[in-house]
Amino acid sequence: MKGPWVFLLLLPTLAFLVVFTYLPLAVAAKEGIPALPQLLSPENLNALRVTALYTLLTAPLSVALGLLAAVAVEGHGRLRLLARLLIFHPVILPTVGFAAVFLYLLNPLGPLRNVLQAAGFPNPLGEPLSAFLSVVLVGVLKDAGFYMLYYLAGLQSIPKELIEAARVDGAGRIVTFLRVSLPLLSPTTFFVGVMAVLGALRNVDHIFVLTKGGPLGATDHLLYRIYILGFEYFDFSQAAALSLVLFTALTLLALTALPRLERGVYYDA
Amino acid sequence: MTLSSERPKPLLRRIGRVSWRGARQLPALLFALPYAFIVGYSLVAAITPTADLHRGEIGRFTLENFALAWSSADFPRLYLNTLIFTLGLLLVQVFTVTMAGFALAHLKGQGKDALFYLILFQLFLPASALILPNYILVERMGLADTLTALALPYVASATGAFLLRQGFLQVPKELVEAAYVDGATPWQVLWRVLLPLVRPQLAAFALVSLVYHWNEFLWPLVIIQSPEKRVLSLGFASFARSAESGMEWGLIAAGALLVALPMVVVFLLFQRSFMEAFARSGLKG
Amino acid sequence: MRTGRIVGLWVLLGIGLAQSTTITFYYPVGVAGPLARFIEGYVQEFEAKNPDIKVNTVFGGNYEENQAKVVAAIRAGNPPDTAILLSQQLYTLLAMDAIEPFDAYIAKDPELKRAVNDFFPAFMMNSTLDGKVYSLPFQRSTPILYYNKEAFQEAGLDPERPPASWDELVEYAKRLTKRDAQGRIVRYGVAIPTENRSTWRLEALTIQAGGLLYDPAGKGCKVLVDTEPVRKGMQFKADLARRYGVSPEGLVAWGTTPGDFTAGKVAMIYHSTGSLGFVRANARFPFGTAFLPKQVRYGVPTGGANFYLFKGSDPKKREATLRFIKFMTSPELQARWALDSGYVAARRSSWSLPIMQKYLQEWPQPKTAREQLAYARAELPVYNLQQVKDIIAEAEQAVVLGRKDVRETTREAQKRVDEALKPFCR
Repeated sequence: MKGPWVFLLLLPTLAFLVVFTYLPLAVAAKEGIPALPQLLSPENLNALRVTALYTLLTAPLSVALGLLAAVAVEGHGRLRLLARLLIFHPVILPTVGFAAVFLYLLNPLGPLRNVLQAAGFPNPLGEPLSAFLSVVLVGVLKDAGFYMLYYLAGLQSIPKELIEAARVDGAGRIVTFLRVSLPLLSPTTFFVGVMAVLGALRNVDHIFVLTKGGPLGATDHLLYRIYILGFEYFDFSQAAALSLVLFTALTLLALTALPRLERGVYYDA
Repeated sequence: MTLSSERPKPLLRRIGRVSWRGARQLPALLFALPYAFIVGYSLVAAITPTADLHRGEIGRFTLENFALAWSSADFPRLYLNTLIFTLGLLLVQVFTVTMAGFALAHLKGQGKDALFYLILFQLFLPASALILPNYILVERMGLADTLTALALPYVASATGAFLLRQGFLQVPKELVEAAYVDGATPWQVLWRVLLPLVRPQLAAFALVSLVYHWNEFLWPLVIIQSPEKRVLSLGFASFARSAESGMEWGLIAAGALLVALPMVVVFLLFQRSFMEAFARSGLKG
Repeated sequence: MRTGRIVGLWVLLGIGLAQSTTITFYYPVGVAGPLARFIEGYVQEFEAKNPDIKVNTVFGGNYEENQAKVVAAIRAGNPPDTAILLSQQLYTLLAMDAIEPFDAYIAKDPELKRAVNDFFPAFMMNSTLDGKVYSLPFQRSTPILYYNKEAFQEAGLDPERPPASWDELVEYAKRLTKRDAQGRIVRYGVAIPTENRSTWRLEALTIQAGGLLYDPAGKGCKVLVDTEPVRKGMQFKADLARRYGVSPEGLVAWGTTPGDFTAGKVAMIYHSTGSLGFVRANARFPFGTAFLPKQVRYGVPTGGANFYLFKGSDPKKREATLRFIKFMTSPELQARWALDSGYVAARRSSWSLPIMQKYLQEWPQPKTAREQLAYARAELPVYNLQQVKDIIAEAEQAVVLGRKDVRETTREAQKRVDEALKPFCR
């Protein structure tokens, strides 16, 4: 717990970070500068808007789903194990595999045709708004499995005695959860919350399969756009510039929001 | 009369107990129902003859999709390469991540937040921005087209450091202080007290790392050249594409299942670590 | 005796020098199925016939990914010797100064010269610029019309007379659209996909309407969006769903359309000849293939990918590379590849080979694509290709979805495309 040798523990991590993260960051900074004036193009602004909306929807929903799932599947038993596996399976499947199922299910001429028509979304992936919502849905379902996992680990770390003590004092299941478990889970929630926001900003593989950024740019997530700029337009400059903007925005967000959020986290049992 | 009425009772009671246990697990299954529906489609697509599937008929069973998928890529080698890559990486990560998480949790002084954010930075930069510079770097190091190169950018894992930090921070201070009172050295505290307590977080991280790298596509696509070094994601992509033709559902589903199967086993192995009830003897004393 | 020893030394030296040359070859997979294995099989065959050459066969993903991988390799200072890339990427590659023309080698090599003259002219359209040949066809295709003969009979149409014009297409589609008792459509008459970020189908419609999406004299710098034929093409597609009710509403996805056709949910589709294998394997009804219907003329863009030569190769590797390309584009291999993959054999002489003749006797449908080549044009060849495609595709979507008026859309798109081309064309 004393100064220098604790820092030594961090050395390997920091060393690799410098080489494989900070160095590329510097390269991106250098490459991106000439493209800064292009940053406010209508396409980029659209991408920013799409990304903000996507994150605002996907992050909280996937966290909530992950928490509920963890609570629902905690405990022993083969059926619970099966449930856990089922909820986690989108994480295990290659993204093409998981997203492809939705291509099949959401096909306007596919097996769910009548259901989709009745719901007022005859061609979910073929119209801008419903395509956006579909992409959110797939994103939430895919990521919730991760967060369920973290919450399960967090739930396991709660001393059983505290739960029992609360019950002995007459508290019901829900009250126990809200008053005892949830606060004790706050370190995990902090982690999951941050991961979910970052996840919504980074996990866009399903967009490649489902909508390719369309229709009409409705699912043109910033990260997807950055990939296209770099790897299909070969406009490395603009890709680097956008990456830099994203990085700066996140850093600022982290520096302002994280300390405040963490103050609300309950660390000592 | 008493004899014949006594014998069926224990059996009924056992059935009753089992079905009660099953019924209590029902909420879990209900929750998983939508997922079951989705998996169901993949499974059905994988075992239905392709011709039937594309006509919209299901009901017949076949293994032809699996056979075609298996023969479309060198699966034994793909499994081997992916195992070496993911397990090798995980082994190294367990060390770096535990050390980093512990350090971040117990660091004192001005720099501690700065270091935490510095590490979190890894997650703020989009992957595609990192790929090209890292590729050029790896090429210069002479490590292009190696499984080692695949692992290098991930040895430092911000996710892992963050997760383990939270895990270490969740440990009650009294436990640690009690250990010191008992005369333990910092090393012993780490090994005997703290590490076992963050086992759930480590297990979670291990699972996350394995699964993420098992299916990782873009970085291996850029780095790997030789057919013998390919990993599963590349192998799967080599026959599941359909830019020109129609999507082969059966083949894609079967291929996806072949790729995912080992991860199901890994999941089943690891998830027990979440369910272990460990003794918190420190609090009782 | 001394002569003997000297000769011996030279022989040893010669054997030492005749070590194998290794060349690197990047390839994409664009059709579902074990295509990677086929390609790698051909490579192994080539290596067996040429023991002094080793080919490093690098799988690159789909067309876009393979392109990205090639570019990454170039940037890292390690370009491949050859790669299979979209035939329409010529200008992008030229802009990167990454490729070399074949001409110097064609002049010296009669076999190569024969090959160049034996390719279908339509497939060479995307390969030439200023009289130089920059790529050789390998896996090529065109869009064709697939139609359900059984549905035709059911609707009282002659199954041997597919629609020949746009008007006939609409007429047939109206009769082929079937509803159930509740009035819901159970089979659509026709489906023309509108995939995001791709202009293939719009190109076809534009050509049929008498136009072209680009100006051939523009040398990769002039795209024609704000023209009557383009507007007609976009409007036609939009009308199919919104005016005639014979197509599904919204965007129709490319990848699911053949499956919809074989499931009997759509009676006619526009799709790549590369899907022939898929349709053949899965359709339980007799089906036909035909030219895409004309408006003022028949016409389609070609599609698919070619072999390119990359700068930075040494003479030994270049010689080995050319031998490899000649092998892969030979009539025999093109015929086999066509049978294995569904692509169109790009060499004219492939079609008279016994293996091809036998195949055509059983399955005459591949002939459609070949015959349509007479009306084929180059696939959109411009600088900054993907960005131009994206702009045009988005304009098309706006019209098909009924969001914008077609005149306004094409005018805006023309402006955006001209902007996108400016940095590359002076």
